[in-house]
Amino acid sequence: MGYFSEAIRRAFHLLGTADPEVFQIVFFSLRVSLTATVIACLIGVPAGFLVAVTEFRGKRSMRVMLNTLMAVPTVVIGLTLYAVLYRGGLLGRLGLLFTPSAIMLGQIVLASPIVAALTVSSVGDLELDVKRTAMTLGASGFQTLVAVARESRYALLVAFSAGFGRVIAEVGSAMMLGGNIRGYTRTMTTAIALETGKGEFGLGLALGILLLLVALSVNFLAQTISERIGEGGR
Amino acid sequence: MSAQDTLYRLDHVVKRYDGRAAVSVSNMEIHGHETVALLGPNGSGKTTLLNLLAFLDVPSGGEIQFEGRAIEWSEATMGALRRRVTLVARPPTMFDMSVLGNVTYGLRLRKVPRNERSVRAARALAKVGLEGFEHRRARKLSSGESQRVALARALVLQPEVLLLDEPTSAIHSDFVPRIEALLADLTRQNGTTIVFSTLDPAQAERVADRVVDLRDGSVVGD
Repeated sequence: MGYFSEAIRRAFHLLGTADPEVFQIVFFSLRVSLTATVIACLIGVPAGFLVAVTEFRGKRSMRVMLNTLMAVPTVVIGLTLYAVLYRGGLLGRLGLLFTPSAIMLGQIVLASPIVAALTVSSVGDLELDVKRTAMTLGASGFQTLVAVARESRYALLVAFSAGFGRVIAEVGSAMMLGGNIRGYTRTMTTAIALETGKGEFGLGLALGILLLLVALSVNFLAQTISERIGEGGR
Repeated sequence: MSAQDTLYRLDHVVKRYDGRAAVSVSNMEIHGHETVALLGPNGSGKTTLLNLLAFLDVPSGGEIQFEGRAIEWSEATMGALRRRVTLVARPPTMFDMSVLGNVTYGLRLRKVPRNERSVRAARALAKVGLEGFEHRRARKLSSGESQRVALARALVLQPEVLLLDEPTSAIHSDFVPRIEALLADLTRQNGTTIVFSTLDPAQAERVADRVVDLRDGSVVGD
Protein backbone atom coordinates (compact mmCIF):
# COMPACT_ATOMS: atom_id res chain seq x y z
CA MET A 1 0.00 0.00 0.00
CA GLY A 2 2.95 2.30 0.74
CA TYR A 3 3.91 2.33 -2.92
CA PHE A 4 0.43 3.34 -4.00
CA SER A 5 -0.02 6.19 -1.54
CA GLU A 6 3.52 7.36 -2.30
CA ALA A 7 2.84 7.10 -6.04
CA ILE A 8 -0.40 9.06 -5.88
CA ARG A 9 1.25 11.71 -3.69
CA ARG A 10 4.20 12.02 -6.09
CA ALA A 11 1.96 12.04 -9.17
CA PHE A 12 0.02 15.01 -7.82
CA HIS A 13 3.26 16.63 -6.66
CA LEU A 14 4.73 16.27 -10.16
CA LEU A 15 1.58 17.72 -11.68
CA GLY A 16 1.28 20.46 -9.06
CA THR A 17 4.88 21.61 -9.34
CA ALA A 18 4.78 21.33 -13.15
CA ASP A 19 8.06 19.41 -13.08
CA PRO A 20 9.68 20.43 -16.41
CA GLU A 21 11.32 17.08 -17.08
CA VAL A 22 8.11 15.15 -16.48
CA PHE A 23 6.13 17.53 -18.64
CA GLN A 24 8.74 17.24 -21.39
CA ILE A 25 8.39 13.45 -21.26
CA VAL A 26 4.58 13.62 -21.25
CA PHE A 27 4.41 16.03 -24.19
CA PHE A 28 7.04 14.10 -26.11
CA SER A 29 5.10 10.85 -25.61
CA LEU A 30 1.87 12.53 -26.66
CA ARG A 31 3.41 14.12 -29.74
CA VAL A 32 5.06 10.91 -30.93
CA SER A 33 2.10 8.65 -30.19
CA LEU A 34 -0.56 10.95 -31.62
CA THR A 35 1.46 11.51 -34.79
CA ALA A 36 2.09 7.78 -35.15
CA THR A 37 -1.61 6.99 -34.59
CA VAL A 38 -2.75 9.57 -37.13
CA ILE A 39 -0.31 8.15 -39.72
CA ALA A 40 -1.42 4.60 -38.80
CA CYS A 41 -5.03 5.69 -39.40
CA LEU A 42 -4.09 7.19 -42.76
CA ILE A 43 -2.70 3.77 -43.68
CA GLY A 44 -5.00 1.43 -41.76
CA VAL A 45 -8.41 3.02 -42.38
CA PRO A 46 -8.26 3.05 -46.21
CA ALA A 47 -6.63 -0.39 -46.23
CA GLY A 48 -9.27 -1.82 -43.87
CA PHE A 49 -12.06 -0.11 -45.79
CA LEU A 50 -10.79 -1.58 -49.05
CA VAL A 51 -10.58 -5.07 -47.58
CA ALA A 52 -14.11 -4.72 -46.15
CA VAL A 53 -15.89 -3.46 -49.26
CA THR A 54 -14.15 -5.43 -52.00
CA GLU A 55 -14.42 -9.11 -52.79
CA PHE A 56 -11.18 -10.86 -53.70
CA ARG A 57 -9.48 -14.20 -53.35
CA GLY A 58 -7.66 -14.48 -50.07
CA LYS A 59 -9.88 -11.97 -48.26
CA ARG A 60 -10.34 -14.38 -45.36
CA SER A 61 -6.59 -14.99 -45.12
CA MET A 62 -6.03 -11.24 -45.16
CA ARG A 63 -8.37 -10.81 -42.19
CA VAL A 64 -6.64 -13.63 -40.31
CA MET A 65 -3.26 -12.02 -41.01
CA LEU A 66 -4.43 -8.60 -39.79
CA ASN A 67 -5.81 -10.13 -36.61
CA THR A 68 -2.53 -11.97 -36.07
CA LEU A 69 -0.49 -8.80 -36.58
CA MET A 70 -2.49 -7.19 -33.79
CA ALA A 71 -0.87 -9.65 -31.41
CA VAL A 72 2.77 -9.22 -32.48
CA PRO A 73 4.87 -8.38 -29.40
CA THR A 74 6.29 -4.87 -29.43
CA VAL A 75 9.83 -6.14 -28.86
CA VAL A 76 9.58 -8.21 -32.05
CA ILE A 77 8.65 -5.07 -33.97
CA GLY A 78 11.44 -3.22 -32.20
CA LEU A 79 13.96 -5.93 -33.00
CA THR A 80 12.92 -6.17 -36.67
CA LEU A 81 13.09 -2.43 -37.18
CA TYR A 82 16.37 -2.27 -35.27
CA ALA A 83 17.83 -4.70 -37.81
CA VAL A 84 16.65 -2.43 -40.61
CA LEU A 85 17.69 0.88 -39.02
CA TYR A 86 21.06 0.08 -37.41
CA ARG A 87 24.15 1.44 -39.13
CA GLY A 88 24.71 -1.69 -41.27
CA GLY A 89 20.98 -2.25 -41.93
CA LEU A 90 18.90 -1.66 -45.04
CA LEU A 91 17.98 1.90 -44.01
CA GLY A 92 21.02 2.50 -41.79
CA ARG A 93 22.23 5.39 -43.92
CA LEU A 94 19.20 7.44 -42.90
CA GLY A 95 20.53 7.60 -39.34
CA LEU A 96 17.10 7.13 -37.79
CA LEU A 97 18.02 4.78 -34.98
CA PHE A 98 17.68 6.32 -31.50
CA THR A 99 15.66 9.25 -32.81
CA PRO A 100 12.00 10.18 -32.25
CA SER A 101 11.35 9.18 -35.89
CA ALA A 102 12.44 5.63 -35.13
CA ILE A 103 10.03 5.43 -32.19
CA MET A 104 7.28 6.80 -34.40
CA LEU A 105 8.06 4.26 -37.12
CA GLY A 106 7.79 1.42 -34.62
CA GLN A 107 4.48 2.76 -33.35
CA ILE A 108 3.12 3.14 -36.89
CA VAL A 109 3.99 -0.50 -37.61
CA LEU A 110 2.38 -1.46 -34.33
CA ALA A 111 -0.86 0.51 -34.73
CA SER A 112 -1.60 0.13 -38.45
CA PRO A 113 -2.79 -3.52 -38.29
CA ILE A 114 -4.96 -2.70 -35.26
CA VAL A 115 -6.61 0.20 -37.04
CA ALA A 116 -6.99 -1.83 -40.25
CA ALA A 117 -8.43 -4.91 -38.50
CA LEU A 118 -10.94 -2.86 -36.49
CA THR A 119 -11.92 -0.96 -39.65
CA VAL A 120 -12.51 -4.22 -41.54
CA SER A 121 -14.60 -5.52 -38.69
CA SER A 122 -16.71 -2.40 -38.15
CA VAL A 123 -17.24 -1.58 -41.82
CA GLY A 124 -17.97 -5.23 -42.58
CA ASP A 125 -20.77 -5.29 -40.01
CA LEU A 126 -22.45 -2.26 -41.50
CA GLU A 127 -21.50 -2.55 -45.08
CA LEU A 128 -24.23 -4.69 -46.64
CA ASP A 129 -27.24 -3.02 -45.03
CA VAL A 130 -25.99 0.52 -45.54
CA LYS A 131 -24.83 -0.27 -49.05
CA ARG A 132 -28.20 -1.69 -50.10
CA THR A 133 -30.11 1.16 -48.49
CA ALA A 134 -27.99 3.78 -50.23
CA MET A 135 -28.20 1.94 -53.54
CA THR A 136 -31.97 1.57 -53.51
CA LEU A 137 -32.28 5.28 -52.74
CA GLY A 138 -30.31 6.01 -55.90
CA ALA A 139 -26.69 6.28 -54.75
CA SER A 140 -23.94 5.67 -57.29
CA GLY A 141 -21.03 3.36 -56.46
CA PHE A 142 -18.97 6.22 -55.05
CA GLN A 143 -21.91 7.72 -53.14
CA THR A 144 -22.54 4.30 -51.64
CA LEU A 145 -18.95 4.11 -50.40
CA VAL A 146 -19.28 7.60 -48.90
CA ALA A 147 -22.44 6.46 -47.09
CA VAL A 148 -20.66 3.38 -45.71
CA ALA A 149 -17.69 5.50 -44.58
CA ARG A 150 -19.99 8.02 -42.93
CA GLU A 151 -21.90 5.34 -41.07
CA SER A 152 -18.63 3.77 -39.89
CA ARG A 153 -17.29 6.97 -38.37
CA TYR A 154 -17.84 6.02 -34.71
CA ALA A 155 -16.15 2.70 -35.23
CA LEU A 156 -13.25 4.48 -36.88
CA LEU A 157 -12.83 6.63 -33.79
CA VAL A 158 -12.78 3.45 -31.74
CA ALA A 159 -10.03 2.17 -34.06
CA PHE A 160 -8.12 5.42 -33.46
CA SER A 161 -8.51 5.09 -29.69
CA ALA A 162 -7.42 1.44 -29.74
CA GLY A 163 -4.38 2.28 -31.89
CA PHE A 164 -3.44 5.19 -29.64
CA GLY A 165 -3.93 3.09 -26.51
CA ARG A 166 -1.59 0.45 -27.87
CA VAL A 167 1.22 2.84 -28.87
CA ILE A 168 1.17 5.19 -25.88
CA ALA A 169 1.45 2.18 -23.58
CA GLU A 170 4.11 0.20 -25.44
CA VAL A 171 7.64 0.09 -24.10
CA GLY A 172 9.53 -2.60 -26.04
CA SER A 173 9.93 -0.93 -29.41
CA ALA A 174 10.30 2.59 -27.94
CA MET A 175 13.16 1.35 -25.78
CA MET A 176 14.93 -0.51 -28.60
CA LEU A 177 14.46 2.08 -31.32
CA GLY A 178 14.59 5.25 -29.22
CA GLY A 179 17.26 4.25 -26.72
CA ASN A 180 15.57 6.09 -23.84
CA ILE A 181 17.82 9.15 -24.23
CA ARG A 182 17.03 11.78 -21.58
CA GLY A 183 15.43 14.88 -23.04
CA TYR A 184 15.41 13.42 -26.54
CA THR A 185 13.75 10.01 -26.88
CA ARG A 186 12.54 9.30 -23.36
CA THR A 187 8.85 8.42 -23.36
CA MET A 188 6.58 7.89 -20.38
CA THR A 189 6.85 4.11 -20.62
CA THR A 190 10.63 4.03 -21.03
CA ALA A 191 10.91 6.46 -18.11
CA ILE A 192 8.73 4.15 -16.01
CA ALA A 193 10.98 1.19 -16.93
CA LEU A 194 14.08 3.22 -16.02
CA GLU A 195 12.75 4.49 -12.69
CA THR A 196 11.57 1.01 -11.73
CA GLY A 197 15.02 -0.36 -12.63
CA LYS A 198 16.57 2.22 -10.31
CA GLY A 199 14.27 1.14 -7.49
CA GLU A 200 12.24 4.36 -7.72
CA PHE A 201 8.93 2.51 -7.62
CA GLY A 202 6.97 5.52 -6.37
CA LEU A 203 8.12 7.72 -9.22
CA GLY A 204 7.54 4.90 -11.72
CA LEU A 205 4.02 4.43 -10.48
CA ALA A 206 3.43 8.19 -10.49
CA LEU A 207 4.42 8.29 -14.14
CA GLY A 208 2.06 5.35 -14.69
CA ILE A 209 -0.78 7.36 -13.20
CA LEU A 210 0.09 10.26 -15.48
CA LEU A 211 0.10 7.86 -18.43
CA LEU A 212 -3.39 6.71 -17.52
CA LEU A 213 -4.56 10.32 -17.18
CA VAL A 214 -3.15 11.13 -20.62
CA ALA A 215 -4.83 8.09 -22.19
CA LEU A 216 -8.08 8.97 -20.42
CA SER A 217 -7.94 12.56 -21.72
CA VAL A 218 -7.31 11.49 -25.32
CA ASN A 219 -10.10 8.91 -25.22
CA PHE A 220 -12.47 11.42 -23.62
CA LEU A 221 -11.63 13.88 -26.38
CA ALA A 222 -12.20 11.23 -29.07
CA GLN A 223 -15.54 10.31 -27.49
CA THR A 224 -16.62 13.96 -27.33
CA ILE A 225 -15.68 14.53 -30.97
CA SER A 226 -17.56 11.38 -31.91
CA GLU A 227 -20.71 12.58 -30.13
CA ARG A 228 -20.43 16.04 -31.66
CA ILE A 229 -20.20 14.52 -35.14
CA GLY A 230 -23.25 12.43 -34.33
CA GLU A 231 -25.26 15.45 -33.19
CA GLY A 232 -24.19 17.32 -36.31
CA GLY A 233 -25.70 14.70 -38.64
CA ARG A 234 -28.37 16.25 -40.80
CA MET B 1 -47.27 3.00 -70.05
CA SER B 2 -50.79 1.60 -69.87
CA ALA B 3 -52.03 -0.59 -67.08
CA GLN B 4 -51.80 -3.63 -69.33
CA ASP B 5 -48.13 -3.12 -70.14
CA THR B 6 -45.82 -5.67 -68.66
CA LEU B 7 -43.31 -3.94 -66.45
CA TYR B 8 -41.37 -6.96 -65.21
CA ARG B 9 -41.12 -10.34 -66.89
CA LEU B 10 -39.24 -13.10 -65.10
CA ASP B 11 -38.21 -16.07 -67.17
CA HIS B 12 -36.79 -19.08 -65.34
CA VAL B 13 -35.17 -16.83 -62.77
CA VAL B 14 -33.13 -18.59 -60.11
CA LYS B 15 -31.26 -17.11 -57.17
CA ARG B 16 -29.02 -19.50 -55.26
CA TYR B 17 -27.23 -19.06 -51.98
CA ASP B 18 -24.62 -21.67 -51.08
CA GLY B 19 -25.98 -23.92 -53.80
CA ARG B 20 -29.57 -23.75 -52.50
CA ALA B 21 -32.21 -22.06 -54.65
CA ALA B 22 -33.79 -19.32 -52.53
CA VAL B 23 -35.94 -18.32 -55.50
CA SER B 24 -36.86 -20.31 -58.59
CA VAL B 25 -39.56 -18.64 -60.67
CA SER B 26 -40.24 -20.16 -64.07
CA ASN B 27 -42.56 -17.44 -65.26
CA MET B 28 -43.97 -14.31 -63.71
CA GLU B 29 -45.18 -10.94 -64.91
CA ILE B 30 -45.85 -7.70 -63.09
CA HIS B 31 -47.85 -5.05 -64.89
CA GLY B 32 -47.61 -1.31 -64.62
CA HIS B 33 -49.84 0.46 -62.06
CA GLU B 34 -50.84 -2.72 -60.28
CA THR B 35 -50.38 -3.73 -56.68
CA VAL B 36 -49.00 -7.22 -56.23
CA ALA B 37 -48.74 -9.06 -52.93
CA LEU B 38 -46.10 -11.73 -52.46
CA LEU B 39 -47.65 -14.02 -49.92
CA GLY B 40 -45.80 -16.80 -48.19
CA PRO B 41 -44.32 -18.02 -44.91
CA ASN B 42 -40.86 -17.13 -43.66
CA GLY B 43 -38.18 -18.53 -45.94
CA SER B 44 -40.44 -18.72 -48.96
CA GLY B 45 -38.23 -16.38 -51.00
CA LYS B 46 -40.19 -13.13 -50.74
CA THR B 47 -37.25 -10.97 -49.67
CA THR B 48 -34.91 -12.55 -52.22
CA LEU B 49 -37.44 -11.91 -54.98
CA LEU B 50 -37.87 -8.28 -53.88
CA ASN B 51 -34.09 -7.79 -53.90
CA LEU B 52 -33.99 -9.10 -57.49
CA LEU B 53 -36.85 -6.80 -58.51
CA ALA B 54 -35.00 -3.90 -56.85
CA PHE B 55 -31.90 -4.65 -58.94
CA LEU B 56 -29.88 -5.10 -55.78
CA ASP B 57 -29.04 -8.72 -56.53
CA VAL B 58 -28.11 -10.46 -59.75
CA PRO B 59 -29.95 -13.70 -60.51
CA SER B 60 -27.92 -16.90 -60.62
CA GLY B 61 -29.80 -17.94 -63.74
CA GLY B 62 -32.66 -16.96 -66.06
CA GLU B 63 -33.68 -13.57 -67.36
CA ILE B 64 -35.46 -10.55 -65.96
CA GLN B 65 -36.98 -8.09 -68.40
CA PHE B 66 -37.96 -4.58 -67.43
CA GLU B 67 -40.24 -2.68 -69.82
CA GLY B 68 -39.64 -5.40 -72.41
CA ARG B 69 -35.85 -5.23 -72.31
CA ALA B 70 -33.64 -7.90 -70.80
CA ILE B 71 -31.60 -6.51 -67.94
CA GLU B 72 -27.87 -6.23 -68.50
CA TRP B 73 -26.47 -6.71 -65.05
CA SER B 74 -23.89 -3.99 -65.39
CA GLU B 75 -23.49 -1.50 -62.56
CA ALA B 76 -24.38 1.40 -64.88
CA THR B 77 -27.66 -0.18 -66.04
CA MET B 78 -28.64 -1.28 -62.55
CA GLY B 79 -27.77 2.15 -61.15
CA ALA B 80 -30.06 3.87 -63.65
CA LEU B 81 -32.90 1.44 -62.93
CA ARG B 82 -32.50 1.86 -59.17
CA ARG B 83 -33.43 5.53 -59.58
CA ARG B 84 -36.87 4.34 -60.74
CA VAL B 85 -37.38 1.47 -58.32
CA THR B 86 -37.14 1.84 -54.54
CA LEU B 87 -37.16 -0.93 -51.95
CA VAL B 88 -38.19 -0.50 -48.34
CA ALA B 89 -36.33 -3.32 -46.61
CA ARG B 90 -37.23 -5.13 -43.42
CA PRO B 91 -35.93 -4.19 -40.95
CA PRO B 92 -35.05 -0.87 -42.55
CA THR B 93 -31.56 0.53 -42.06
CA MET B 94 -31.62 4.04 -40.69
CA PHE B 95 -28.66 6.22 -41.48
CA ASP B 96 -27.13 7.69 -38.34
CA MET B 97 -28.54 11.15 -38.82
CA SER B 98 -31.81 12.95 -38.20
CA VAL B 99 -35.15 11.75 -39.56
CA LEU B 100 -35.07 14.69 -41.99
CA GLY B 101 -31.57 13.68 -43.11
CA ASN B 102 -32.80 10.17 -43.79
CA VAL B 103 -35.94 11.21 -45.63
CA THR B 104 -34.11 13.71 -47.83
CA TYR B 105 -31.11 11.44 -48.53
CA GLY B 106 -32.34 10.32 -51.96
CA LEU B 107 -33.40 13.86 -52.85
CA ARG B 108 -29.91 15.15 -52.03
CA LEU B 109 -28.45 12.52 -54.34
CA ARG B 110 -30.81 13.80 -57.04
CA LYS B 111 -29.72 17.38 -56.32
CA VAL B 112 -33.20 18.59 -55.43
CA PRO B 113 -32.99 22.13 -53.96
CA ARG B 114 -32.99 22.37 -50.17
CA ASN B 115 -36.36 24.19 -49.87
CA GLU B 116 -38.10 21.67 -52.05
CA ARG B 117 -36.48 18.83 -50.10
CA SER B 118 -37.89 20.15 -46.83
CA VAL B 119 -41.38 20.58 -48.25
CA ARG B 120 -41.43 17.12 -49.79
CA ALA B 121 -40.02 15.51 -46.65
CA ALA B 122 -42.63 17.20 -44.44
CA ARG B 123 -45.36 16.00 -46.77
CA ALA B 124 -44.03 12.42 -46.81
CA LEU B 125 -43.67 12.35 -43.03
CA ALA B 126 -47.23 13.63 -42.63
CA LYS B 127 -48.45 10.79 -44.85
CA VAL B 128 -46.96 8.22 -42.49
CA GLY B 129 -48.15 10.08 -39.39
CA LEU B 130 -44.77 11.37 -38.26
CA GLU B 131 -45.32 15.11 -38.40
CA GLY B 132 -42.77 16.95 -36.28
CA PHE B 133 -40.29 14.06 -36.26
CA GLU B 134 -37.83 15.84 -38.60
CA HIS B 135 -35.16 16.58 -36.02
CA ARG B 136 -35.30 13.33 -34.05
CA ARG B 137 -32.33 10.98 -34.27
CA ALA B 138 -33.39 8.22 -36.65
CA ARG B 139 -31.52 5.50 -34.75
CA LYS B 140 -33.39 6.38 -31.55
CA LEU B 141 -36.80 5.61 -33.04
CA SER B 142 -38.87 2.52 -32.28
CA SER B 143 -38.95 -0.22 -34.92
CA GLY B 144 -42.45 0.84 -36.01
CA GLU B 145 -41.42 4.47 -36.34
CA SER B 146 -38.30 3.41 -38.28
CA GLN B 147 -40.47 1.45 -40.66
CA ARG B 148 -42.64 4.52 -41.24
CA VAL B 149 -39.58 6.75 -41.76
CA ALA B 150 -38.24 4.23 -44.28
CA LEU B 151 -41.58 4.37 -46.09
CA ALA B 152 -41.49 8.18 -46.10
CA ARG B 153 -37.88 8.03 -47.37
CA ALA B 154 -39.09 6.00 -50.33
CA LEU B 155 -42.33 7.95 -50.91
CA VAL B 156 -40.49 11.26 -51.12
CA LEU B 157 -38.69 9.98 -54.24
CA GLN B 158 -41.99 9.26 -56.00
CA PRO B 159 -40.61 6.06 -57.52
CA GLU B 160 -42.31 4.40 -60.46
CA VAL B 161 -42.06 1.09 -58.65
CA LEU B 162 -42.26 0.77 -54.88
CA LEU B 163 -41.15 -2.52 -53.36
CA LEU B 164 -42.00 -3.17 -49.73
CA ASP B 165 -40.83 -6.04 -47.56
CA GLU B 166 -43.57 -6.69 -45.00
CA PRO B 167 -44.29 -2.95 -44.74
CA THR B 168 -46.46 -3.13 -41.64
CA SER B 169 -44.65 -5.89 -39.73
CA ALA B 170 -43.48 -3.56 -36.94
CA ILE B 171 -46.32 -1.07 -37.07
CA HIS B 172 -49.02 -0.97 -34.41
CA SER B 173 -52.26 -2.54 -35.62
CA ASP B 174 -54.15 0.75 -35.09
CA PHE B 175 -51.98 2.38 -37.72
CA VAL B 176 -51.94 -0.44 -40.28
CA PRO B 177 -55.18 0.63 -42.05
CA ARG B 178 -53.69 4.09 -42.63
CA ILE B 179 -50.59 2.59 -44.29
CA GLU B 180 -52.73 0.26 -46.38
CA ALA B 181 -54.90 3.18 -47.49
CA LEU B 182 -51.76 5.13 -48.34
CA LEU B 183 -50.55 2.31 -50.60
CA ALA B 184 -53.93 2.12 -52.33
CA ASP B 185 -53.84 5.90 -52.93
CA LEU B 186 -50.35 5.68 -54.39
CA THR B 187 -51.43 3.35 -57.15
CA ARG B 188 -54.74 5.12 -57.74
CA GLN B 189 -53.45 8.70 -57.75
CA ASN B 190 -49.84 8.41 -58.90
CA GLY B 191 -49.93 5.18 -60.86
CA THR B 192 -47.15 3.72 -58.74
CA THR B 193 -46.57 0.03 -59.25
CA ILE B 194 -46.36 -1.65 -55.85
CA VAL B 195 -45.01 -5.06 -54.98
CA PHE B 196 -45.12 -5.93 -51.30
CA SER B 197 -44.50 -9.05 -49.30
CA THR B 198 -46.72 -10.14 -46.44
CA LEU B 199 -47.33 -13.07 -44.16
CA ASP B 200 -50.98 -12.09 -43.80
CA PRO B 201 -53.43 -13.44 -46.43
CA ALA B 202 -56.11 -10.98 -45.29
CA GLN B 203 -53.78 -8.03 -45.87
CA ALA B 204 -52.84 -9.39 -49.28
CA GLU B 205 -56.53 -9.58 -50.23
CA ARG B 206 -57.30 -6.13 -48.81
CA VAL B 207 -54.48 -4.24 -50.50
CA ALA B 208 -53.40 -6.09 -53.65
CA ASP B 209 -54.88 -6.40 -57.12
CA ARG B 210 -53.07 -9.71 -57.43
CA VAL B 211 -51.73 -12.19 -54.91
CA VAL B 212 -48.72 -14.34 -55.76
CA ASP B 213 -48.30 -17.34 -53.47
CA LEU B 214 -44.72 -18.34 -52.81
CA ARG B 215 -43.52 -21.59 -51.24
CA ASP B 216 -39.87 -22.65 -51.03
CA GLY B 217 -38.92 -20.00 -53.56
CA SER B 218 -41.43 -21.03 -56.21
CA VAL B 219 -44.73 -19.53 -57.29
CA VAL B 220 -47.51 -21.94 -56.32
CA GLY B 221 -50.46 -19.69 -57.00
CA ASP B 222 -51.18 -16.45 -58.89
